[in-house]
Amino acid sequence: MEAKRSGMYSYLMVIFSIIILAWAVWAMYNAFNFQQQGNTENFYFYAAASSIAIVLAVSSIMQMRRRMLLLQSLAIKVLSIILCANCGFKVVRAFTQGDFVYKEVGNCQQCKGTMRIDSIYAEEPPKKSRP
Amino acid sequence: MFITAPIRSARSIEDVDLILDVALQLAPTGGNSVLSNLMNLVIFGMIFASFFFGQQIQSRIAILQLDGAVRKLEFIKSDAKALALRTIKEIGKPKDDPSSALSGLLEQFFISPVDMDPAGIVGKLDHLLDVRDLKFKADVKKLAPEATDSQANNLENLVEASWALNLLYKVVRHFYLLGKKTSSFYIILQLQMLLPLIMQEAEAYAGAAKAFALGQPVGDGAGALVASRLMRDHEKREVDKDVMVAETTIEGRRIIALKAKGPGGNVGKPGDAIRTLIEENTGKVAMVVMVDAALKFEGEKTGEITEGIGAAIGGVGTERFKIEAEATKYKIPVYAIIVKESILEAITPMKKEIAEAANGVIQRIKTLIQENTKEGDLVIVAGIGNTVGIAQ
Repeated sequence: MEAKRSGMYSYLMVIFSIIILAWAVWAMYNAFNFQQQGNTENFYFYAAASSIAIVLAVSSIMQMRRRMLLLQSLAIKVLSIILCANCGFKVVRAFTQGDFVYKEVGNCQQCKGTMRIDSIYAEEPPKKSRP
Repeated sequence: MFITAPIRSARSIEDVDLILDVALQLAPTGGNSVLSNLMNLVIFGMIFASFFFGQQIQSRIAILQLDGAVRKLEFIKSDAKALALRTIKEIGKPKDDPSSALSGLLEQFFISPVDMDPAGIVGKLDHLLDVRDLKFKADVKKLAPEATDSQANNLENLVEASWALNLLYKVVRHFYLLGKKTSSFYIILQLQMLLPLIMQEAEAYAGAAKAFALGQPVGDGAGALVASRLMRDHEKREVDKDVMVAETTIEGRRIIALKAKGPGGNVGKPGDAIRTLIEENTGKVAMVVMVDAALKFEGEKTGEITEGIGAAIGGVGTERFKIEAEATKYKIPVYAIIVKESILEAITPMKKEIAEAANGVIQRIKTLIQENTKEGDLVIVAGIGNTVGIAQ
């Protein structure tokens, strides 16, 4: 729940930063226009404001990107793979405290054989493939 | 020509005017408004400041960055300590509040034996490590009287991870404060350069603390997992300290597989166990195969399996020394199979790629045995690493 809220905050911050970045580009365009018109005061105002906004927005986006990567790494799921020694029936479930490799966890639903935890591993969420 | 004072000051004023004129000409529009002049002065001032105070500015920025890192380390350290305390209370059900005893445990230190005369240092180091291990175990058991042996081992590992984080925090804070106090650019710079690696290590220890609290297998257990696969459904016995052994056969060869006693967090003393097994068989061992997790280089794939020669075992070197000495005494070849992983992957929950590498390692062991031994030979396969979450 906390991770979800944190992820939401990151996305909102990114959206806000993109808006600031868009304004900065517009301000920079205006600054060049003022420069051509010879309006020095406005040129300096817009150029300075735009530069500061670009630096802030880019740094904020970079920071949020790092935060999102960290959140992604925290979202790793640890799974317990349970196998039936007789028929090979496999059950995959989330790790629960007290699980360990070769722990007996009841009988097989299919052949009533003994089910044991065969392995426990952490699985990363699937990465989005780039086109 | 001798210049009188008033004339010199007039010259100085002219010089400053000249510099200002040059600076003002840098204005993009060449305008002469007040704002334009002010901006040029600011730019000029910034160039001047960076020229003369560049190093101070850089060290101020570095101090700010280090300040953030020290705060983050403090948070990670406190978090790990809180996790240890919570787990001790949950599992150990102590009668008294264990907070102060835990704090004391986190401040413990270890003095290495003197190495001016290195003869016999391995024995001395091994003895001191044994004492430290026994004391740490006894202290943890005192903190958590209700914990089973396996849970006590996990708690011991958890407290050790907290101890490592505590030490890391104190070392970083020491150099940060020293750099700040002495305004030494080079102390600050060295710490800043090492910061990414330090933070990576701290995050790895934080991950390890969580894994030990829950009893999840960690990446370092790759060797133990391989040995446990070989030992499964065979009769086991304990040899030496916390090391389990089982006998099986592969391609007509007698295989003695060994690993630390699980499923609690434990590394055992495989050096002693291998020595005992070789002595039990009067040196008639055709080969020793050691399986362990090893650090990969950046860019290498996690779970990649490679073979080599020598005793694959980490730590301070006492266990490796024993294995090498015994193998040399009986002229037994020692082969190593390693599963590659990063430092972070080694002490955080075992990744799928590492778990899946276990079967690949068994295939490599089979090939190695077929190529280098004959039927009826005895081979020792040692699964090295922390066996948290892996039984036998």
